Amino acid sequence: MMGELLLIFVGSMLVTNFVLALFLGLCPFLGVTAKVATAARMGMATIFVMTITSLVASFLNAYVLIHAPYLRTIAFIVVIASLVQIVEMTIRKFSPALFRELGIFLPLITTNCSILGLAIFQTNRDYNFLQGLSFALGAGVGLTLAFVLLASIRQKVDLSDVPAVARNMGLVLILAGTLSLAFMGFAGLFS
Amino acid sequence: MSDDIRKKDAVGEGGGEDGRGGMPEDHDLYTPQGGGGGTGSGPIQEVAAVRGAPEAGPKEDQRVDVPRPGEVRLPQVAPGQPGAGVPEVKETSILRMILTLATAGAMAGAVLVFVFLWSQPRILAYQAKVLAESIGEVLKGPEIYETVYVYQGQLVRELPEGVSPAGLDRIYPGYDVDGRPMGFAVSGAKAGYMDLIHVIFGYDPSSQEVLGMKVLDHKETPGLGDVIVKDEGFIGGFVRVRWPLRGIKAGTGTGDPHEVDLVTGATISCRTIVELINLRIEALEPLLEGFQWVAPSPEVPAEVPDPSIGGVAGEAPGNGDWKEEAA
Amino acid sequence: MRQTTAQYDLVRGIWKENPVLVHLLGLCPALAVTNTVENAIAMGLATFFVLTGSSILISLFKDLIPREVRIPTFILIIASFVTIVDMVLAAVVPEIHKALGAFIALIVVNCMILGRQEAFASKRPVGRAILDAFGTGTGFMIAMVLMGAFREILGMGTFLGVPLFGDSFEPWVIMILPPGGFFALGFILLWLSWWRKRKAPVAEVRQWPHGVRVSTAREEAA
Repeated sequence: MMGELLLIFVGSMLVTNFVLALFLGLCPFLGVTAKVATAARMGMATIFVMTITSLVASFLNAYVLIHAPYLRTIAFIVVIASLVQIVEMTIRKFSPALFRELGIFLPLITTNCSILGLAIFQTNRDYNFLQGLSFALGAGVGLTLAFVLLASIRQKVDLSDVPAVARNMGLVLILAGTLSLAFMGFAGLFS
Repeated sequence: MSDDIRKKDAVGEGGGEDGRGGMPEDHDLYTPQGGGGGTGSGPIQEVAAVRGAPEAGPKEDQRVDVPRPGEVRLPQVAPGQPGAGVPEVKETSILRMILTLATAGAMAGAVLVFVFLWSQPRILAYQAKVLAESIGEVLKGPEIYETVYVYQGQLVRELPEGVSPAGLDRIYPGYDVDGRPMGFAVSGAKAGYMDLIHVIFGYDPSSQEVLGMKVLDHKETPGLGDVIVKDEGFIGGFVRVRWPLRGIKAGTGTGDPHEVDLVTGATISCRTIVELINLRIEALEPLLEGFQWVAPSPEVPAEVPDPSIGGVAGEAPGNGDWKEEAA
Repeated sequence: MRQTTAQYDLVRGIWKENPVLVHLLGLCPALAVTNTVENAIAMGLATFFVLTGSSILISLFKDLIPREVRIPTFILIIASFVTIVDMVLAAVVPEIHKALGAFIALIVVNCMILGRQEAFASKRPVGRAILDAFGTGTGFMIAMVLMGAFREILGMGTFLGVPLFGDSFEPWVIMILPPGGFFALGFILLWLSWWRKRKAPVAEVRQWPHGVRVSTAREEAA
């Protein structure tokens, strides 16, 4: 069983990377990755929220949503929004230091496709609690990995002489595409 | 143009970061190039400023006045908190807020129930049709088939009271027009190159042969991995193959009845299907041993088959004897 | 608040402030489902419907929704529309529904929709809200079709399933794969950026009726 969980973890981290293969979480991907430090912090916040969301989504799927499957989207998004709000308040109350590090990113995660996407993919693949958890961890770590990689490339590139037309988003997207191309090399890792 | 917006944001927000020591100092904290992502740099500081410093009044007014697409202001920490100096807003009571949300929720729920009731029969009918066609293809044309569930390690035709068929593994025995058994149709899914590949295949337990294979759903690459649906040779290679299947490179066949030719350039997708079939048969083989074929009588109307696909390959339902139930 | 004409409200979202190409909102679906033009159009239509519907509703009820809970209420309304679209698509065009997959549900978190409600529909009368929604939705659709066309023509050699080139055309398969999405949008943005920088100086000069060429800040920065 551990092997299967590890498979799911590495699978969602590398093989179907949430950002580079599944296109979830692109808004912060392009917005937050100007500097490595902020990218890393955003990634941590996302891992945190993804883990909690995965647990709640498993719970909802198992007990609540069987009776009303059409309420799934609404339930997920409402839960995610409230969850993020609660988490933010809790962190702020109990650990101001952590809040200073992470807190600013938490609201940004609410309207972010990656969390809702995580919940939906987990539902579609029928994962149980543990599988969903390793899926979420893998997704979060993979997302952080992609963020940090792109941020480090961007930081270097910012110091170079880039033609005016390509400045900012044009070049960033092409860089992201190359990164995505590189990650395609992980496909079939477990076959 | 987006650059200009970004610079404007950065310049305007310099003041808000003071008094919050420890916050990331770069103004490009979140640079959505004009709003991509849900909030601009303004609202972040605004939200934080509301919590940390009480003097964010004029800024908040400015924010309200300038419509910036993509800017999202998030719910404040505590409802009814004096909105940091926005004078004209009266505080709404908690009751009113709850009432609004409850009403909105109730209306939404009501509409959704209606749409659900309208759409569900169509969706189920479509899925049943697809399933019927697929079973026809993989079993080479059964006239009648039934749904048999795997419940608590046994094959049962009718589930006990209160047990929902959703999520249960199932197989579909098929019979020809004279009621003679033709084999089982088994479905399953396994992660291929891109995402899960859903497959249904026919299986004859007496000869341990696979009768046919059909891919129900896949997300493989068009032009590369989608040979699993496009390559007739590959699909045809699953007819009358003996279990356990072995996938081999095309051209290296030795005539062994266990071998299936893989398509060059799409070996991952093809291998996935081979492994999926092996795993499913391995999981179901002990259950199929004692299965007794009872063709549903023609007078009994054929039930609409339960179309939801059964479990992901690899989950063994467990051993046990088959238990006969009246059809 | 800047008073904009009704006509500007309609036209603004189509090109000048195109949500995808200028503001870079709603990128998740823009890259994920644009591997064929058919999927792109379907997603564009679905988003258009959700945007229009929710804009109308929110604009109608804007006075009834308290400020503190407006975001959750907006999200609730948008999510309901998305669920309706999801079920209707599954019932009417199941193949397309399967092709779009999870991304229909992800319309809920399309920053573009929430952004428009927050910035516009919650503050303007219904008529203007409808115009704005139409404009933004059309702009989104245009961007999607542009991306879809780019990727499908280069990646498969077809347009809406119709082969454009002969048999000797070797499709650039990477364009249909995930990296292709990034590359496609990147190249389109590059082209747009070049187009704007190319046009801008000319536009500046035309403002001076006697043809005096004045060096603008834009030219100095370039």
